[in-house]
Amino acid sequence: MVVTPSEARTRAAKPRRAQEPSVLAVVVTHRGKPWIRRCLVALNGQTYGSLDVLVVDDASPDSAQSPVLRRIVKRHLPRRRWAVFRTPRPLGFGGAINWALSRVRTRVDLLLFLHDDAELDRDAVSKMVARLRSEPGTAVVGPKIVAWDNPDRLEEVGMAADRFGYPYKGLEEGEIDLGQHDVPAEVFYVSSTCMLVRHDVFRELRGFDARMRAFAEDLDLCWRARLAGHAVRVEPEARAQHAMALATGKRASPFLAIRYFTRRNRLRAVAKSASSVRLLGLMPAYMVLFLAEMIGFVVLRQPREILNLARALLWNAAALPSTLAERRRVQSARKIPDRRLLRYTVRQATRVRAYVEQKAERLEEAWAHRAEVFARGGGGVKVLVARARGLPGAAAVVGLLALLIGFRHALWTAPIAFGELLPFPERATAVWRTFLSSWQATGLGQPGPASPALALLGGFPVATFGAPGAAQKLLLIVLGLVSFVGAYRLVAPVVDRPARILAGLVYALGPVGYAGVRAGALGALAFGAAAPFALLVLIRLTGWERPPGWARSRAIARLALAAAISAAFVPGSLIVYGITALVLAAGRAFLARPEKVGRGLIGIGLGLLAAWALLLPWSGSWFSPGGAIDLLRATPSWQVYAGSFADEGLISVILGQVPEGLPLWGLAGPLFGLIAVGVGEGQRRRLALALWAVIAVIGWIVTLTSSGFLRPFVASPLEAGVVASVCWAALTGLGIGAFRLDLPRRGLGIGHALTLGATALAGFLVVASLLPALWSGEWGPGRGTRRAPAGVVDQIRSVLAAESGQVGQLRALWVGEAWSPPEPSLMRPPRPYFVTGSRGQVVTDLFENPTEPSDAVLARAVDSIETAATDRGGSLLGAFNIRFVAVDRDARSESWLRQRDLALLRTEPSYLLFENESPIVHAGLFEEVPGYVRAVSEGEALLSGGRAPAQRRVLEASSAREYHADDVAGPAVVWLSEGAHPRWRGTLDGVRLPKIDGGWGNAFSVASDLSGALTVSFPHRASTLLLLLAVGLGWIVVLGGSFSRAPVPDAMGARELG
Amino acid sequence: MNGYSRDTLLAAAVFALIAAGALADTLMGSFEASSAPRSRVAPVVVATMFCPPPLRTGEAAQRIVVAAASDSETTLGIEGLEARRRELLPGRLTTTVFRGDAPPIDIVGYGGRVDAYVAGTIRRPVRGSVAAVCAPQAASDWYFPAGSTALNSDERLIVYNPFPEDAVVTVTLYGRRGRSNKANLADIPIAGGGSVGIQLNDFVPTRGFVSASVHAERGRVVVWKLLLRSGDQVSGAEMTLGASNTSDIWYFPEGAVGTGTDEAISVINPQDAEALVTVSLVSAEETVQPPKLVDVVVPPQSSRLISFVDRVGGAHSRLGGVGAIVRTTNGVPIVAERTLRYATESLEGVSSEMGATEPARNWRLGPASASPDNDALVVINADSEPVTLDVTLLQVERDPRSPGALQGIRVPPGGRFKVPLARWTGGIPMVALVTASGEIVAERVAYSESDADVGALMGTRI
Repeated sequence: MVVTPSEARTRAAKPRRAQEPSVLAVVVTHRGKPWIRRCLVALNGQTYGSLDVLVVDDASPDSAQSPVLRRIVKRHLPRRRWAVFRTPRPLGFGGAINWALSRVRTRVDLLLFLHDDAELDRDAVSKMVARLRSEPGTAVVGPKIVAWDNPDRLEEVGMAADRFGYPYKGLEEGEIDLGQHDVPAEVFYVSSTCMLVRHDVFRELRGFDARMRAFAEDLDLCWRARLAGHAVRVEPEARAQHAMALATGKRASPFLAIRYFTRRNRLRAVAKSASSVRLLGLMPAYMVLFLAEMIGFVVLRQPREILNLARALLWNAAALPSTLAERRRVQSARKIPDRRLLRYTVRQATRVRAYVEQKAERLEEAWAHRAEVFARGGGGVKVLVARARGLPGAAAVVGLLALLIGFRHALWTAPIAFGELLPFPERATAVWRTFLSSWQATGLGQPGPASPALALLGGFPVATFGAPGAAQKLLLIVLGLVSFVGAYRLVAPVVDRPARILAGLVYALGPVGYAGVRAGALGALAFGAAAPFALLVLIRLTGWERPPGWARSRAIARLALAAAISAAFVPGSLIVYGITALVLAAGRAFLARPEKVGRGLIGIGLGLLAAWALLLPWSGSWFSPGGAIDLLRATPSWQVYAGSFADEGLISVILGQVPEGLPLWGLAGPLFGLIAVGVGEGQRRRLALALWAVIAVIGWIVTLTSSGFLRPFVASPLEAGVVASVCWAALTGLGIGAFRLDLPRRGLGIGHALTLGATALAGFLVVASLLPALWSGEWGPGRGTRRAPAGVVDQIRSVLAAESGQVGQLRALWVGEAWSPPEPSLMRPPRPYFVTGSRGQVVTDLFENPTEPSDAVLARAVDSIETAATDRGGSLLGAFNIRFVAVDRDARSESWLRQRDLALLRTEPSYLLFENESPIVHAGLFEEVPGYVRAVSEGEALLSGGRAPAQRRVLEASSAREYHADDVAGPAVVWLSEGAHPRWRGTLDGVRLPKIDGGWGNAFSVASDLSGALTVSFPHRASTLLLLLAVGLGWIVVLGGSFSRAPVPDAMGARELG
Repeated sequence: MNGYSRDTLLAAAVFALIAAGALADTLMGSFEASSAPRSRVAPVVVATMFCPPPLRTGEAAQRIVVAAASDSETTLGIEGLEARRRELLPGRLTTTVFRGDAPPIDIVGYGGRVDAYVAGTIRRPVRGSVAAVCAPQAASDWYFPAGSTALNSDERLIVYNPFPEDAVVTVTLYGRRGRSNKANLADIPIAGGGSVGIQLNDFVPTRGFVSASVHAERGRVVVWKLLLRSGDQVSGAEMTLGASNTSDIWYFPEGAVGTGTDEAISVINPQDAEALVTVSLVSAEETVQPPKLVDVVVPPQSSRLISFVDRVGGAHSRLGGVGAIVRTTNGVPIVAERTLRYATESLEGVSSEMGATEPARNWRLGPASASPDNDALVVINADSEPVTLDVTLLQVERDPRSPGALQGIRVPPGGRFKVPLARWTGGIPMVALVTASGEIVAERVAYSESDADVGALMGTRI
């Protein structure tokens, strides 16, 4: 039975003894039956006389059914006046106290807040009251806290915190209480386990922060008390034993997502109480800290904790208005500056060191466990070594050698600059910096966002410590290995190991790898690496095959991850996955219950949507002019992509020639597929049928695109056929599996003969096509195409690099098909020419938007040259800071030879290299906007004005989005050779410069009375940065979810709470 | 329905899907491939004509005639290492630029094309007049089939490098016995924007017929030939822009076979295969084929002089004015140049001109002499139908003129027609426009009494 509030008010308002301050103990309990008896007995037995007790049941579900709590209280507090309240719903410790105190009218001097799993020594209250009375400035006093079951072990003697609000006890793990901390001292805060607070101060502080619900409310209260000028002390003579029931998981609670509540509330506490200056520095650091923690949880494979951290951030974002209101109140009551609190806080390093020391023991245990695992694993390795002897070992060695020989033109060469396979920049972090930059220097420049493909690719030069060649090789090796593993895992649940290995090899060496490397199609290779994983998830979500322990949420996370990686390179892959899912779902619905399939489809939809969201903000621009999907749909560019499908169709797909593979090899796929269907049984047969259906539908799509009935949604047949190629590899594995596992179970007959014959024929086809191809190294970029060999590009790049060392930032124009990808590509949109920096095309030049306004101006200049309308091409190109022109030797090269202001630097059989005699600087100070710049936009008459304009000064580039110069004096015009955009901003000595008409580029006017340091920059957008941050968190969550394992008890997080 | 039956049905559906797809694949056509999209905006028009440097002979004067080649307003730039001038050409107007001893100049049309021609007069060491077209572009190879280093000849190759980078050229000589290179004619440097005159007589022993080619080992150049001939019978000057490409057909509208004329076709075969050359003559009414001009063998890497005096006899020897069409019958491309000497009562002098390689409907023709007393336009009808042509004269700083007598001139198929222009040009070097209803080839010829020399200038296709 619960007392009514009026009854409680009556009991609590009775007169007190005059000689000592009255104390009201407020015990908050929630599912606390195992501990509360000892807690109440201790209160009852206190030597302190003027002590009443208010027990607040925070909506415990067990006491709701029976008046057991009231009976317990009555039985164990015979000497005290008491009352019992029950909150209508769980409010948390602070919330419950606020709620209860709002319902009693009491004039007690002191409030004692106590956990229900805390037991006070008999004189604890007396000692704490005495301390409070002896120190007039003190508002809060806490006891020494020891372990519940072992009073010799210290748990807490006051608490410190670092600047992020993370708690620090200053105790060793399991430290024995020998009185070494028995010195009354001021501390930053005391925990809410037991906290004696002056009632007036508590009212002045407006109680606990009710929105915090649980955890860190003690830190918040004490911090606010300190800011208001009150001291917080620990009285070691007073002692309490604490069971830590919630933190150790002994008690069920609605606040069990401990990390969520702790991080959330600490962030709110810091936001409320830190000074403004400190807060400015803390918030970015806080974000970095959160990210680091999330990455740590990815490593620990604890995705739930990543979600908790993300939730904490989102909660604070949503609660920002109330936090700011609270902050105003706290700061207005502030009486002391932050620096006076520094002595009670610890540095971050101190806290981390203590944390590491505390965990040393745990690590030892972990290492011991790991050694045990290794010992077991060693057995596995021994078994593996034993198995690898003989034929399998020889086959593995031969296979590895075959791969090395076949890919020798890709792996053992100078950095490849072919198609989309481009060299990495020389700086290890350059790709990441480009990804994060608000202005992309690709082509004539374009605003961000960049494709997350750059973020993924950026890891390779970092992994190779900035060696660009090694990074590219590593990229190819990783893509190959991932492809192998993907195909291996795809068939793993239904076939034996030899069949899985064959499936993996067939896929890695098959059409995607073959055509992808030859065409330098990085997009198709990345799509191909991710596709087997995505297909596996699609198969599982649609119910074709589900192994034990399969989890839907993990599958969705994996689909999101694989699809996001694919779509970062090939946006249309999301549509391919969607179509594949529909085919699989339709087939499964025919065989099994449709409602299950429906749930699977919803999961797939969520996964694909999440994949799209993971690519934001870039994916938001897909449908904008020049965006990835827009290029595929817009006229006339779609015709270029559709044209690449000519002569392809379902028959090509069935024959394994979409993507283009080795001719005979392609015939083996259908044979294995027929064996899988004809000989396979049960799940193997059904899975094979599903894969056949996917292949058929992809074949239809290729046919319809090829005939112009369907606009393409991927750039080339190579990309369209990736999933079909995965299916062929899987069918090969299933066919081998059926041959090995199902055929022996059948009786001898015609089936045996046919299967043996078909298997032998398929094997022969594979070997007959593979061996010559391996011998001649057919897996090489540019093989089978008429594009410029890598050596030619290297020659030109070396010339450009040498010149750029002398003249600084420059651009080069590459004209002709020899430099373009052999397959249409979205990563390098089709165009008869392109612009690069001094190193030629590098990875950061991918995803150029060909519809930028500046591009139309350049197109006019190039067309003027190629139609022989002008012979002053150098002047026109000079307006773009194009200093070199590499022209593929074709019919158009004659028109380039006519250009009077292009000096012929090299004449080679395959190309011409010109040096421009009339370039202007990339960024500089001029008397007026250079005439060349206006000429390319406005007309030829301006070209008659003279030769290259003289610049007064050259601006130095700090990055792609920032240029500067010191000691600049007006009047002048600042000209920047980057595509015109209103967000480019020029400032001189802090004064913003007016923008003037700069043709295709950007120009600013410097008035005559201005002088000082000049900066031209393209600022970041806060909204974009926030979105990037949110998407980064999303990647971490999805990564964690994809690689998650069974949840582990959160002992670390719990201990930290004390 | 049990599981096996469902599997069978699913398999049947899948294979039906594949069969239908294969059928559709066979029946549906392929989408037409499209090239990469290109810009549709109007191009920036800046076109330069490279004109030769001043004639550095004993005493000579030279002027340049410029015609705006488009209806749009054009800014004319006269540019060079030392000269720089701007003028506005309000469309289809002929203007004249006089020049003194300036280095090579470039005539630049900003906003529209311009055509430029050089016409000069030489007083010493021989009397004569020259006319040549300025080059619209530079090239790596230039051919000059007709040439001579005989005692009474003075042949010079004027090499102009209009580009900023230095060029290096090598001169190759061709004759009946093949090609030859001379060490001191190899790797001749030409400074960027500069010109060099190579006097072949200084390097080549006396040869009555020698052909030459200039190859730019590095860079691109423009080359003209200036040949001064002196002698008892014929004297005069020839100047012609070289041919930068080979062709298997060459047209020469002007020509004559008869008393007092000596016409010859010089041919270079720079290929590695033998060329069989046939020369047809085009009279006023028809095209005739002298038998000795059929399948004349020009060995590989050699040149040959095909003289009409030696090869045209019988009834053909009295044809009078004839044009010539030079073809290779075995498809080996050649370069052909015509040399025409007059020693009659009314005409004297010598001219030499490269042929035209393609007929066209519209032609622009510069003046064939700086001071023409006798000015004419010669047309060959290369069409299989009669052609009607109209002639317009671009006057100096005045509106174009289209005299009625020069309109609707009919030329029979395969025939030739000579249109006298002196009545309207009046000794002023005007540019003529010819517009025909069919495919023709047009050439301008002139005679200057004061210079006692004939001149010829092949038209420019529009």
